[in-house]
Amino acid sequence: MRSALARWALAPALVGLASGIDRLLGVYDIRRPTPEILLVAIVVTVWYGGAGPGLLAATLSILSLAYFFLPPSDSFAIPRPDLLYFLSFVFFALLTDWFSSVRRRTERALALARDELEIKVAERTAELEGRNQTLQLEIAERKRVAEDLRRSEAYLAQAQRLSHTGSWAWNTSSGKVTLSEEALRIYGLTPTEAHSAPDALFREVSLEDRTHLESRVNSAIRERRDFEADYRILLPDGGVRYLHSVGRAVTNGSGDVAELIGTTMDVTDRRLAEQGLQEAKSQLAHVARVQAMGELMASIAHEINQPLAAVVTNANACTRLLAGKALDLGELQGAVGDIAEAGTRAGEVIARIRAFVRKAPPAPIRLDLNMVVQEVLNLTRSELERHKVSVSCELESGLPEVQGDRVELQQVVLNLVMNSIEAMMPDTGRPRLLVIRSQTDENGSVEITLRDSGVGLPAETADHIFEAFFTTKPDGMGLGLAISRSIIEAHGGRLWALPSDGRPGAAFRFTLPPCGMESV
Amino acid sequence: MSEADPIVFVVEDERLVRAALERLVRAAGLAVRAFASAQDFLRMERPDAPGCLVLDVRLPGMSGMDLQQELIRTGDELPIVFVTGHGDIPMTVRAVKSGAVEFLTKPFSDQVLLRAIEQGIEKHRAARGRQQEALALRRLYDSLTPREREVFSLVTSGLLNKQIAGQLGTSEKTIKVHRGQVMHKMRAMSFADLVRMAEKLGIRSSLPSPD
Repeated sequence: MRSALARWALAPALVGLASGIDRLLGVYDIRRPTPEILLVAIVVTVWYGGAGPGLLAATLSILSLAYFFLPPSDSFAIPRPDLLYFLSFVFFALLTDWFSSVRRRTERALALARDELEIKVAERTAELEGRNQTLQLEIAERKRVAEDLRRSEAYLAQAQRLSHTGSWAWNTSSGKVTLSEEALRIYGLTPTEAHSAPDALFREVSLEDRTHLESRVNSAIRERRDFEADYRILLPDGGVRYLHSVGRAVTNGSGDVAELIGTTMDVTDRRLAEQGLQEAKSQLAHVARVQAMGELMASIAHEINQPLAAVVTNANACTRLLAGKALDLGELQGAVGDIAEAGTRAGEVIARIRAFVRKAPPAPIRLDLNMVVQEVLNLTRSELERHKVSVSCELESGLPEVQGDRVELQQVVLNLVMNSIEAMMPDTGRPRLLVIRSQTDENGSVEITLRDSGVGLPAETADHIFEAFFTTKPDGMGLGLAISRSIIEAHGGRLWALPSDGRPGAAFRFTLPPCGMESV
Repeated sequence: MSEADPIVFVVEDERLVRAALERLVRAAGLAVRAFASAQDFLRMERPDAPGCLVLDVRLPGMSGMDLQQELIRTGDELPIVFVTGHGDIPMTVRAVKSGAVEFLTKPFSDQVLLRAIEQGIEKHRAARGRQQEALALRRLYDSLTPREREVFSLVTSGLLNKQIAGQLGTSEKTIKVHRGQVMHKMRAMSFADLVRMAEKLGIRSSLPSPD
């Protein structure tokens, strides 16, 4: 029933209706009064109105029975003979009401339970559908991931092939080695060989490099850190492969190194190209040295002709002395001694030049740069005199030694000296002065500075002077400074032109790291 | 008069070459004095004797060429034989044009060098002779009176006695006397002799000189 009022109104309405119907039937005398019809009103009220209105209907029915149905009519008085009937009616009315109420409640509870069940079933169904959907998505995602993985592995294999880089993992306790396809190719191993041989990664390493590689790997394991190594392996066909490996020690839960993982790159092509380049550079440097000697030709001729003149003149003097009447033995002795000395001197000049133009691969040794400067000044002394250039040396004593090739470093200094001489050729009105200074810089590197009083470097050429084939000289090759810089850089140093800072002339400086500090 | 013995000067910075040159020149019987630089040479007090300078082109400080120019500037006629370790043609031409006796490239033959030195000494001797002659002539000229000098100048420029007398405002006879004095004082053997002397002395004015 909708509202409480309607439910409560149902009781008097139905009881009234039942009483009215019965009364109507009595009036027309269709049949004898049947108060049981009131029980129907109670049942209906309970059914549609609930327990409260039902009780009201029962009460109203009892009153209606007493008033309308039992004689005397239209009075609540109940005659004795009807009392039993009345009481049994009251009993039945209340029983009907109670019973109907119980039934109704049960029905209601049942309906409610059914409704709840339906809702729950709907909920579970929806939940299951949702799970199913998620599952479907997951399956699709897994398929996609698997596909991506497959593709990415294919890409990786391609990339490894293209970059000649193989990857590997080495279980340090079991000795088991896992190699990528490219790594197998690089090491020249079959998968079975790689699995069966715990030392597969070291087996073909050349004897010279093995100790070096093993010590790097061992210290990486010991100190739980990364390592990097360059080494060579010998191929079955007798060839050599140059490899570059980087690896990392991977620790397990207890902090011990369980595995070494890393990559190995086949750098053979690059290494061979580098060697070729190195050879070409060394040849070029040689050509430049020969050319520099050519430029020094006049001075070299002078330096050799001086002792030769002494030899010839002394010999002629001896001839004359011997032809004379009285032999002056002292004079003869002096002449012969000088001949020997001059001959030795000429030999030294030639040896110096030969050493300078020799064609040999660079041989790094420990050397004192002050000595290198002095040797170049010996070589160019005559040239400097010829062009009236005075040299002022401010060489710091006790310089740290550097590691380098004597001839190549001489070549750099010679080149700078020759450039300075050339820069001072035009008449600038200033005295021709070359200042050479050596000192240790704040990093402990040895620093050599050459400053001339020549025409200086115009700003527009200063940027290009170190470029190959750039030259301001009519017959220059434009290689001197480019070669000098490449020599200095190969020695781990730097060569540059100092800014003029308003001073006349040009200044060049190079630095070289002291022994033991050069980069390898 | 008897002349002093010639001296050969050597300026060469290279010790071995300098010693060798000294020895060679000494062995050839000539006196020698050697120096390591042009400055050292210029600082020396030069003996009054004929000589020759054996000079290295390339020297520290003042070069051989610079020394040659310095000698020319001071009117020093000491002949120079250049020696060089490496000489180029322009350098040789410049040296020879400036009066060098010889330009030798090391190593050189001793005969060539000694011949050049001899030549140099001869040249110097001649120059010194000319110098001495000029000096003597100048002394004779200095003994003339101003009037005699005027007459000397005018006579040697080719004027007749009469013309000279007209110019100087005096008689022809007086000019004749002056002329005789000039011939006598200048110890001229002939008039031609007198003209040569005038040339050597640099007297060539056809007009009376102001003094």
